[in-house]
Amino acid sequence: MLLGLAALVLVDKAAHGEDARRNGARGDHSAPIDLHSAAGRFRIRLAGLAREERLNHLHGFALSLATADGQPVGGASIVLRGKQRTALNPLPTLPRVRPGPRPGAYRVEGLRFHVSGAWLLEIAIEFEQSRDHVAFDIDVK
Amino acid sequence: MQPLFLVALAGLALCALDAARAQPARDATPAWTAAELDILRTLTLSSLPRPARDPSNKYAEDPRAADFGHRLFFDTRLSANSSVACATCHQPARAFTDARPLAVGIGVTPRNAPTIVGAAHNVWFFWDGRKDSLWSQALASIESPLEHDMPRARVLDVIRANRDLGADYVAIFGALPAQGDREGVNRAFANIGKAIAAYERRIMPGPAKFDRYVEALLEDRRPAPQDDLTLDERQGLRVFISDQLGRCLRCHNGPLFTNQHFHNIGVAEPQRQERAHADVAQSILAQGRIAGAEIVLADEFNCTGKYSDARPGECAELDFIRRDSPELLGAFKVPTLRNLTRTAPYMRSGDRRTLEDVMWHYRTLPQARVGKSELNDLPITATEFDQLEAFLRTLEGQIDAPALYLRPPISAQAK
Repeated sequence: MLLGLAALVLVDKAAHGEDARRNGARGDHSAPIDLHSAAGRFRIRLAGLAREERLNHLHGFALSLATADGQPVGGASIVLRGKQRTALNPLPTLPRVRPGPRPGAYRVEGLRFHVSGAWLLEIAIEFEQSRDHVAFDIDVK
Repeated sequence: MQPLFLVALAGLALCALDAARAQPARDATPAWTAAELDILRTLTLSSLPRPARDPSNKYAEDPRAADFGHRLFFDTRLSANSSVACATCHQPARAFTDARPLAVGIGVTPRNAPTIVGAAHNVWFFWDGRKDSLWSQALASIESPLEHDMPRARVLDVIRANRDLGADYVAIFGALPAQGDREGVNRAFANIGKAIAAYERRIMPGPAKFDRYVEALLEDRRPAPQDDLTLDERQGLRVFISDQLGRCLRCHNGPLFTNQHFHNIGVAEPQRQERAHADVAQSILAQGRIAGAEIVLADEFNCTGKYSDARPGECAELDFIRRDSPELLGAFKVPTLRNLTRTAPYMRSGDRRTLEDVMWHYRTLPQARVGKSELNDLPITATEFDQLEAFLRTLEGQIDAPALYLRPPISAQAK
């Protein structure tokens, strides 16, 4: 289940606008997406995912996780979920997040969008006794 | 000014007026916006990439395998009564369908035969996606009691007994297994499927009027008269791509007009099934993708199976498969919309005889007997439904394949 999404969306809206401006050209995979988790516990950087993504294509991208003060967080349990903004259908695949080669580095694989338009993605993070999550929009062309 | 010149000028002016009168409707349509052009670009065949490599079939691009597969595709000896071939239900002249509501092999199947045109781009096969490759799909049809009804060991017997087939097989795959060598038979049977898949991968859609029209738009030139969409076709296209009107792109997107996924749109099981089985709604058949996902995961011929050529980590579609999700109950695969005029009747149960019947389905929104239909009332008029149908007819194109692959091989014709 996507927990508390409505609230998260409000929290994320401001960051979203800032991220979108920072990301520059649409569909630009070279600029990372920087996010802060809803309760401020984690900083998340997504590299290789654009705010505007391609349809019907299996995506993989890098996820970097750090504490609020920038310390890498290794060994976290991370889940990526998503749903369409309009029809509320979930993603057609079950993406997985695997640990990467360095502390705080992870790899997300198996993300596919099968319907164009607005999608809401949520990253849920659990590390030791700490849980937090972040939601953000992706526009699929 | 000379009188003759004035007459000529007047004549030119009249011609211009005539031309303007001849196309008042076309010029009355608003120009496509940049956002709409971006969408149209994604739908043209020029946006279709080469089919992705099939890691499970190392013979997929082998021309000898494709030629062998072409022969097998048309060969009725691969059926229990020597009367059924793949081409029985997938006829080139009908865009590789059969014009029947339900496919008929040895018996009547419970499903409408889908086209194989462009199937190299498919992710899942059969209406419920219970197969994950062209080759494993072919094997299931050969063994199905309602299709070819040909057990794998007998298929190999036919290959062994006929020098023409046997020689081709050995040249591509090596020695045939001994009778009774179960493992060898399984592997050789998989090879038969891989050859058929190598042939089927070469059957692709060719450009349609729609593609030529959009290409002209994107190149900022006027389409050739025969490629220019009529007012109704343009309006239908506008409805098709609008998320406020037709919402068709939610499922029918990309150059093949399918998102390769599964949706419940409230199509009933075939009436024949309903009559024969009172509890058809409870059957595995009617469960759609939710059952298909489990079947493909357990399939001995899937991408991760021992008869696949894929290396570990190369079967991404299976690795990330969604299962046990409520929206998959009663959900079936979205078919391509290309060449629709040659692929009637429609829907998995084949009970929509015409495109008008299909439009009626979206106007009447029947409730699903299994799961929940995703369809909602569309804010479009009866006229716009007609225009939508007119647009869909512009997706008709030639089949893009070697000419000899669109007819039976010489040996089959001689039989």
